[in-house]
Amino acid sequence: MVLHSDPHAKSTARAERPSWIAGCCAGEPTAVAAMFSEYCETVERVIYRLVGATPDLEDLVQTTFIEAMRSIQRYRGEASFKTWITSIAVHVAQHHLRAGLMRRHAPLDLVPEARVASPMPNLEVQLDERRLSSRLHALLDKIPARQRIALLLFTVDGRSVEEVAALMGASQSTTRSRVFFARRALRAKIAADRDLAELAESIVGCRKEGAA
Amino acid sequence: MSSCRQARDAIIAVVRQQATEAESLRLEVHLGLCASCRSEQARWHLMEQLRDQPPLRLGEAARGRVLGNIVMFSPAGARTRERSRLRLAIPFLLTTTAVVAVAWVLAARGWKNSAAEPSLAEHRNTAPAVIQPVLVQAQTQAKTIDQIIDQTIRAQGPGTLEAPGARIAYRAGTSFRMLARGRRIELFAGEVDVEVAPGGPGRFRVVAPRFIVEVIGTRFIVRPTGVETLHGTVRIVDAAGRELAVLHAEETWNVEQAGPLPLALAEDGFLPTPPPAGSVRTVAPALVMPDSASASDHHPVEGATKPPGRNRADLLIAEARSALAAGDPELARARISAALGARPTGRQRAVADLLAAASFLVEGRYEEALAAYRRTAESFGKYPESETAAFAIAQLLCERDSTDEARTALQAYIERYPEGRFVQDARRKLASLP
Repeated sequence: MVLHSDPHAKSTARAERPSWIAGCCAGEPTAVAAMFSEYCETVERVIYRLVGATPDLEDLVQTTFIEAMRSIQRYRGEASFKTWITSIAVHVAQHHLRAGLMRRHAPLDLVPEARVASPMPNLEVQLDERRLSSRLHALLDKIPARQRIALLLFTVDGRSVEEVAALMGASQSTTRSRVFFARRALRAKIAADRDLAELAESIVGCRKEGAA
Repeated sequence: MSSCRQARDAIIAVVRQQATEAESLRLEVHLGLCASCRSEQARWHLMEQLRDQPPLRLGEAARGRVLGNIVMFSPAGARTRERSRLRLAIPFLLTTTAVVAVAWVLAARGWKNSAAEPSLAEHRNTAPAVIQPVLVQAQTQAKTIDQIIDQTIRAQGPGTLEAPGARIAYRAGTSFRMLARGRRIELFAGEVDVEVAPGGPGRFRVVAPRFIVEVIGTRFIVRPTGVETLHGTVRIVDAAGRELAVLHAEETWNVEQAGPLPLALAEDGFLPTPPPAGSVRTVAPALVMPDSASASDHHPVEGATKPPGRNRADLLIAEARSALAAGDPELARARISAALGARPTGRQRAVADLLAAASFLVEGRYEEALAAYRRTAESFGKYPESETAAFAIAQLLCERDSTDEARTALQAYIERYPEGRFVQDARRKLASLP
């Protein structure tokens, strides 16, 4: 698949081809480690955005990198490596969602260092936010995987339709259609979920109190 | 902003943080006039929650594991594996050649060696043969189970081993290792026929390269490619302890049914330790009595017929529940014990364990109840009973004024089950703790 997320970046990306690519092609452990350390966070973020909190995060990240290693010989530098590996992560997440084997709890050892370190307003808000996020993902679970991914990449990640289409290997019109139907489905599901609205109000209220 | 449709597009643009100042202003004006779009905006603000939440990340240990696996699957890793195989193969071939030569010389001297080797099925019906496993590593012979513990064995001919509470028959060419005082076998090649007496010392396991068989008092045959149960019940799990299948008498299971599995052999202690099925000293809640354990939610064995024992287990669990409701915890535990011996499914075992814990609670045996709840919570993670047990632990600790432990248990429950049935109660309890 050829990705053209930025037509002007094509020649630049070719010029800035990372030095460890050749090492990865040869399977050198140091090059693989360099690639992993540089893009692990990106892959984790993409998969978390698309799949939500799941104990399968480690498996999905590993699958993404193993798939990348298998096809790295075919990487020609026509898109940036980040875009290329993101597209693999999107496909891995899509495959996982379509398999329908979602597990909705996160194991305790996946609690992020960043979150622990970041100042939280209070425990109540933190719990509400987690619950809200989890509930939203539960609603998203009811939307077809492709529509869900298109919606999340477009709405939450703020990517353009062209980028989403390239990442998912679909046409722009198909992508627009997926986003449209996902929005419609999610709107209906959110409207039917009163608990969700109460949670949102609770969080907004707590934040206002905190700000005051 | 002329229409609600345009306003809704603008709302999405705001959520995506890509709205211009002018668009935002026009949207504000429209929202001031249109209640419907205000509710629409409130709904889409929820999506901001997903964007603003910091993503979960793998810990350092998990990253290390992932990196190790990636390197292993890289082209260089494949070459390393190939070299390792060659390094292992050369001494193995030399050893095998030497062993074959010795056997040939002995046979030439008139030893009645098995020219036509009986199959394992034939071997099962014969008296135990002389145990003379050949130790590949030590190149010596051992005659008792103690001498071969922790040693890799490659059997030249068929034979049997008597382990504590179990008898293991093997055929020629079988390669295996006995661990955990003879209660665990790692099978590398060939075939073992295992007969395990119920109520032996601890759980008996056979670890094959791609799956693990847990024994619940039975007789069965294990090959690296599958399992055949002759009588009784076995549970097949993967290296992570996830249940792949439960096999009853006369059923077979093939590893291909399990799909891709981790190839690495598991280390000691990796598995959760569900309570021994034969000795019911387990589990469960005063909170919620499970309605029914009839859900056959273990992974069904393809082509296997539904065992008649499942209904019996249901019946016994129902009797246990009635006995507990009537205030007779001993009778309840007797029924639970019988149920666990009646080929229960994974779900039925979880329900039985919860009931057993409840029976301890009724008698005021808090420590045993707590231990039973912990086993249920850890061993039956995929069933609702696990959630019930997790909350029961926290509740019990609160009642016993173990404040710190109760806080930890409540936080763990909320973390693990953010939409759980008891999450509101858990949060209230957490807030009320001193």
